Amino acid sequence: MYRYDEFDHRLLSQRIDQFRDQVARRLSGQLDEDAFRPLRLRNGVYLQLNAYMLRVNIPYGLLSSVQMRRLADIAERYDRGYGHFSTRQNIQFNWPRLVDIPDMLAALAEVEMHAMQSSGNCIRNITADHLAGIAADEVADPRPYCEIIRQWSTLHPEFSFLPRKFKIAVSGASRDRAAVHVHDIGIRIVRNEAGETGFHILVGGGLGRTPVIGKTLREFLPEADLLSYLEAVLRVYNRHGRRDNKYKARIKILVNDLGIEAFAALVEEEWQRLRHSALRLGRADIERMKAHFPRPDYLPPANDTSEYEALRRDDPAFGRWARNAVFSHRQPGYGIVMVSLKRSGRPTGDMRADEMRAMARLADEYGFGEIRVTHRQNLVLPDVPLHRLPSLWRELAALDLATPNHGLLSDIIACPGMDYCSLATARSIPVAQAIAERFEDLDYLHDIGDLSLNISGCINSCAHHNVANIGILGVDKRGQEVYQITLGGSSGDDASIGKRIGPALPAEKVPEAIEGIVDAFLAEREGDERFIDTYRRVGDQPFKERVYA
Amino acid sequence: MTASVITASSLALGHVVYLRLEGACCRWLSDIQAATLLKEEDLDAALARAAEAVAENEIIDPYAVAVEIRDGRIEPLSLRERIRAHGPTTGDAKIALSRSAA
Amino acid sequence: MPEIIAINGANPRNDWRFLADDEAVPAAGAVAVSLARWLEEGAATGAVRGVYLDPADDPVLLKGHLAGIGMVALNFPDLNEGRPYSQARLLRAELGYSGEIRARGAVLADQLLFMARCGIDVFELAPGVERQVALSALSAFDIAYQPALAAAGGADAPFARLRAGRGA
Repeated sequence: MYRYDEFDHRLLSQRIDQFRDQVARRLSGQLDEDAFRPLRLRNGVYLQLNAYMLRVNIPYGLLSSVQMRRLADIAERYDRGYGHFSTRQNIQFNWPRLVDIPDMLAALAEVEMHAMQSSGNCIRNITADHLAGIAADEVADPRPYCEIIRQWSTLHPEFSFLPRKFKIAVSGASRDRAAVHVHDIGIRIVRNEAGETGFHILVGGGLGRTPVIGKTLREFLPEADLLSYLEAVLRVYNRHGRRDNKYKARIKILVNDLGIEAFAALVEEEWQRLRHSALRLGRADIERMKAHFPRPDYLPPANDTSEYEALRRDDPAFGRWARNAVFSHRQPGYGIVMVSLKRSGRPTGDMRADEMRAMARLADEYGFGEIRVTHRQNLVLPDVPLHRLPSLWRELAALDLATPNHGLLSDIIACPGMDYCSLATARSIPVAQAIAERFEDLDYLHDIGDLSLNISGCINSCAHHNVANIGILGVDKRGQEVYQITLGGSSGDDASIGKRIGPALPAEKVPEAIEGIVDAFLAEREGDERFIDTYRRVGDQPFKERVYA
Repeated sequence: MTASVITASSLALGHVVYLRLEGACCRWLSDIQAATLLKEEDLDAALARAAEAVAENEIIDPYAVAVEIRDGRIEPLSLRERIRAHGPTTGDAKIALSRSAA
Repeated sequence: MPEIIAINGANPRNDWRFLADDEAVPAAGAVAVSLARWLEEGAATGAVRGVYLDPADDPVLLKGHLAGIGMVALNFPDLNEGRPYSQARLLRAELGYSGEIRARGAVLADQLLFMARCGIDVFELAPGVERQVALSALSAFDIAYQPALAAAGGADAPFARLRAGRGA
């Protein structure tokens, strides 16, 4: 992973000193809240329903065991002993005190972590495919490019006061696991006919109040032009994005209003001024950055995987876990292990300090000390030799980290909702827990198969419910929490926005409604269709009938 | 019986606090049971005291919360304010859902 | 009279008059007019002329006019307004303007360094902003991830040159 040099450390250190001073000036009243708010947001500090919240970046979802241990220490020392993994490969602490936050940032800086620009109207954490560098279908590892973009976007003087937040995702595989279609800028690494690496640039995707699938801005952008082109897009957005209405200020609105051709023409005009500037990337720049992400020292496949194979065959529990949570690695003899943070009775994506430490230890003992964070608020142990899986599984199971529900109905994404978030209109975690409880039977879950279910506690859609197969949106109706259900969303390459199936339901009726939807699916399913396939084939009528009978 | 309390967030610490008027003094406490109950006609004066506390950098975002007295305890009327008073409801899903009625 | 900070050797006047579009231009003194008025009327004799831009104005329209301009003022109506940063960079980097660029309006200490790095060299501090605090804020960083404005390009420029500051 990227290792900070003196320059990186110095910049981060100056940033923390700056924020420490800003906090002091706020507490003494030299800065009022209106002046302080944009400053603290750009250091990842929100004021939430119950307390401040600190959002720490996990650049492109990559964590070292050292970093994970430090997160555990911080959770215990400065928070209430746990953290929450978000849908953008970040971790959130829900109870920090403002006076402590500069010290928290300093503790993070020691392990090369930071909270710069994890909030505010600026360029946010650059997210990537959680299988970067190890997926079999990878065209090129996105992480070096993510790090290049991260540095270019950090404390960028021209783009620190954008009309609104700006989110960039990079995918390096033929299958998109980074949700590039619903980001402000989505970047797919591609090869042209000459075999040269370049980027397919998508713009104006996003969820929230007005969900939109991104449009192609450029089919093929040469590698060298990555930063100058991004600079051009950001400049057009900074100059022309709406600033009169917070809900119409994202780039997707600008692209929609102008039309993609007119927008592209504006970008082209800016880019012609920028393309030969100092931002042009040289071959050496890219190679130097790639060198930070070398392939680990993989061992040849073990001679004897008989224990693993026997257990997989004979032990139903292990077999189920191996089939659900272990993925093919591009390196023979290795597997990619999904670690579910969607456990019975626990809020989705939450992890306690002791669990973080255990995870760090497992990463060291079974892999190369690396952990990944996915968009579904789960973790990954990326490089586990197959013959060691039985042992790993036993340890994970003892830690309640072996729930084999990856990609299944109970692999729910839920935003923190009204239990934590001051923007929320309804709670989402209790609904997620109630649904998961209904579907605890693993055989049933596996029979249902691939199904994404996301719950957002307000229209800001932080849980991306509109691109889930089953989406649930919590709203407030005269003081009551009620929930709208959408069906048919999808976030991969065949991205689609879910459709509402009817009037909102009170919380108690939601688990039953989900059961009805699942029953309808099982009744209509042909062969081994996934939920989304059946829905697309039969439409929403059968589902509506069950829910609103 | 319905009334109001004034709530805010502690600037330095971030946690939820409630206004308790003690003669000339005012204190901001985290226990809603210690909050001063206010009638409609007292709200402006109380919010003015809150504005002073904002200017003194003790709290942020003060506002009035409608409450009722139930079994001798102060209880906010809205779920959102009950969460602020008691913390997240995510301990036990069943109990959390049955408390969702306004 | 606003508190003014100047950097990079700028030598700002403190007697600029910012004229509304319907005010007559005096024969002498330092007057700044709106972009629209400049484009219509051009430079006039007798008075030192400057131009002021509102955030929606397109600075590229000043191409070819810059020789006659003594000062460009950028208006920051509120602290979250981000367009003047692009205006400043366009003036410096794309149009090659080397005269004074001045920030006016909601010019607070914590935004100054971003402004400076975009090419603004004179700051009319907002009321209540202390000079010392502002100067201190301007020196919060001595390095940056983005190239300095004067950085040259070139196909083989190493990434290190994308970073501005000491030793880079």
